Amino acid sequence: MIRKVLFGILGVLGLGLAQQTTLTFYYPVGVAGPLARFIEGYVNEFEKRNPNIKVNTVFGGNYEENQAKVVASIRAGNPPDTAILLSQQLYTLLAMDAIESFDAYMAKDNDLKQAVQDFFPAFMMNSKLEGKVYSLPFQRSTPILYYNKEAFREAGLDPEKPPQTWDELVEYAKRLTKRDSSGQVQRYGVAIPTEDRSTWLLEALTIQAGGLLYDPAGQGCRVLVETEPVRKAMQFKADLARKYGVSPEGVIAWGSTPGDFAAGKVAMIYHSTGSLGFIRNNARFPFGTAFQPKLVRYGVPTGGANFYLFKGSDPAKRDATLRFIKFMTGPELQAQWSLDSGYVAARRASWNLPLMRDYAQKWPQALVAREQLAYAKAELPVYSLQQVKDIIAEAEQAVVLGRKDVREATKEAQRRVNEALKPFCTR
Amino acid sequence: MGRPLRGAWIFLIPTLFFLLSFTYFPFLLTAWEGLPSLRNLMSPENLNALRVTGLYALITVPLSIGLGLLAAVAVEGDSRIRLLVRSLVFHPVILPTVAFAAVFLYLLNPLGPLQGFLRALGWQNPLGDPLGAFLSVSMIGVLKDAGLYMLYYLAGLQTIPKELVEAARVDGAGRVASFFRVTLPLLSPTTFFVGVMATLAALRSVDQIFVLTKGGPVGATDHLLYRVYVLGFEYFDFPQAGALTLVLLVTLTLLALLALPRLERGVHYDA
Repeated sequence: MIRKVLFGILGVLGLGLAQQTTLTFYYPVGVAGPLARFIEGYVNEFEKRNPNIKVNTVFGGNYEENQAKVVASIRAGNPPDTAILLSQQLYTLLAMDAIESFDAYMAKDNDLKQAVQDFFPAFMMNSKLEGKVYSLPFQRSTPILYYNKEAFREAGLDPEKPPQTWDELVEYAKRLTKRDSSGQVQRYGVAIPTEDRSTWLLEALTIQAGGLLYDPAGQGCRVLVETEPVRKAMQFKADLARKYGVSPEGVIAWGSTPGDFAAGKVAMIYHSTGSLGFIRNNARFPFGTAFQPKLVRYGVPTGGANFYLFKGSDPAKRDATLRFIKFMTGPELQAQWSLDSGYVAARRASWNLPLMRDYAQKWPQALVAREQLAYAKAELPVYSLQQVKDIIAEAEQAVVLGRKDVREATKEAQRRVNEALKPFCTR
Repeated sequence: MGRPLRGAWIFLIPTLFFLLSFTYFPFLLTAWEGLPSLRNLMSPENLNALRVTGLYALITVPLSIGLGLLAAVAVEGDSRIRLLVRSLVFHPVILPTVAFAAVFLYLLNPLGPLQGFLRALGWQNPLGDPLGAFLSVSMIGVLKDAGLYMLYYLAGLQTIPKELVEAARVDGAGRVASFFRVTLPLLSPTTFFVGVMATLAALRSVDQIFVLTKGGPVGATDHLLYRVYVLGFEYFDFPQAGALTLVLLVTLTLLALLALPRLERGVHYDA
């Protein structure tokens, strides 16, 4: 009798085990706010709807830390089933032979194929190479301009007319900079972070100055630092603090900028649309969002991170993995994610859902990033991504700090970038 | 010293096992992967990291030791105020460095609570300026460890017989003279020990750099260990990261071999 019961229990357990698929999923959080909690919530929802799939989530830290963890697990021969990594990491991951394209699955799975066609084309630019799809958008953004409407009113500016050109930005920023009787700055006009290890905002300014930081036909091998638009972009950043005195001197940290804006210490900031949620919840004043001003044209790079599939992970788990990715990149979830975080819902279908419509009506600030997509370019796609970013960011910092002339800095950076790319780009 | 126990190695097995598998084996592996890259090590970035680390040690080691000693001498005794000051100085030691550094992320913000003070110093945005960032990172290292060294010095002070200090006083030495002539020399075993600890701490200090500066601006806080991390886990250049680790390890070993006997000779172990 006892034996029978035992076998019965074992049998049920065995059955349960046989049906249960366990996935490993790494994800990063790149902006301010409790985003990890939201992602864990979505995963719980997925598990509730798919009781036979369990997802082990690994919160990997910021983008760089998460990338390091995923690469470490790949090197240890134990890659995750899926992970969210920067869309820009395509070339680095291909060079490691670490990822698989989605094409074979798209051929078999019509839902997946349709999903891929429903993403905003701008968000797919960093995903595709030679006609193949290597990643699917999840937390996607563009950098936008946030501005404090109360400060605008106080300075006699029209709060419904944000600056549209670089000149206007400087002029507005001068009026918005507030000093006390001793000359101490109470509020700066504008802050464009010189993010310690990124080129994102420099790319935005470069596009606005009529250039692009890379050659789109360069196959991840041609970075263009030594050009007039890049020089103009770097010089503009330096001038905001050093010439016009409307921005804090020195290198401005990426991480603390949304907090400074929400605290009313800076009247205008350049930041990711992904920070919209944080600013919405923390700013005690009405604020607006707008396209980033142009020098010769509007434009920003897209940003953010996508789902990847890894070679060497268990092929038997592919169905479950794809089911999970489809859920996370689906229209409903993308709409919810956009509401929670401020990231741009990457699916066009999301924007027709009642949830999203109500939200956009209440917070029209959320629409700016989507509209700006029409002017967006792919974000720097290059081998040795972090090394290249570090070299360019360092040159930019040297210019912003007044340590190097912009000509000299870009020339040296170009030489070093070419050097760093040599091992991958011998053609 | 007696003859070594014949079965001693049996007792060493557990320790040796862990040392071999988690220290010596990875070390050899690193050497194997890193050796061929040794000649690529003279890059400007690596030399900069070496310079930053050296400067960091040069600043933080004497300052943290000095502060620890000063605090120990100041708070020796049992009065309530002294106990309070003692716990205040010691407090940063029990905080995780990351949390401690995060507090400074807020304090050193150009528009943060110290704005007026920073402006008076001419450093509106200390973390955004190469020298300011380096000094901030160093200061955090000093404040973090000084409390621990204070504790060592307090223990050291207790081993000094009161009669010696009193005798010096009777002979006419003032407070300062008796401190430098009697107390400090008698503390030299502690100073030696703390010195070694502080140097090791300086070479391993990297947490606040992760939190505050990420090696920047323009490489001003690019500590050797941070550079190893970046090379290995962000550029995925494991050979070069391995080579740099090798240099660090060999330097440390050489330093220890050179310094230990020399320092020991100058140490007063007998009261």
